[in-house]
Amino acid sequence: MIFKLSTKELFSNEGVFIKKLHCPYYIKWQELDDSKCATHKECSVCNKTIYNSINMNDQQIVDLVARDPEACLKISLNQNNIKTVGIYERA
Amino acid sequence: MKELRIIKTARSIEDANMAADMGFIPLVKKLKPLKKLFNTVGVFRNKKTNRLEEAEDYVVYRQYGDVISYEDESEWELVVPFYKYYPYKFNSQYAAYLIPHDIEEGEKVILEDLIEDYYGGSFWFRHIRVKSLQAIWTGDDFSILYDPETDGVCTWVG
Repeated sequence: MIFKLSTKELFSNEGVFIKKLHCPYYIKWQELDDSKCATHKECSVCNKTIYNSINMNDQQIVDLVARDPEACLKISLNQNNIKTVGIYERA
Repeated sequence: MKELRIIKTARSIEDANMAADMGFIPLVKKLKPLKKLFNTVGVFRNKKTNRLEEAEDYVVYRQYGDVISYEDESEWELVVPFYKYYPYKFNSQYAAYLIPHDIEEGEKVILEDLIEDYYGGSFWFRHIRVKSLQAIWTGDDFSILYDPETDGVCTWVG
């Protein structure tokens, strides 16, 4: 996956747009209940599941977003499955 | 959870004056680059191909586990010694938070485009600037709510 930091847009490795990360409540992963589950956490504000993308591949994320276009993801720049671009650009 | 009001930032005098004409009060601040956000870079020349490469050190780690070494002096020459620079660019050296007239003392808001520099974590050799933070209006300025445990890491949700 490719993550454009300046716009928070996520693309597949082939450059196909997947989704734009946006949280109207500015929720932070570290603030969510720690259920000792590395794959996902529950957000009590929107009652949605936030999926940790660290062990997901392009296809899994594409499938997830296809099933639920509003699906929430957690992305960390240190993930080995993500290439980060546009770090110093302004959106 | 109540959705917090978003405070916009004007990055030019024209935008600030346009907002003032619309009734906003510009809270002007000078940009102060945070030393912790500075990056290091040097330039190596490949002695065989003459091509140049930028690097942060003699050995650099890239994503996907790649390691690149410039230690072999028969192959690489450091043609620009390592130096530090501030990597973020702004059109103006000052900016203004656009304060709405009806803001109340103690109101928690979101500063959508922070003027102040806050450290948002590092990955590999890059240091990230926090773009947005919550803040509380004190009556004449914002008290910015920055927690290094949650804001000083390179993680996004959405």
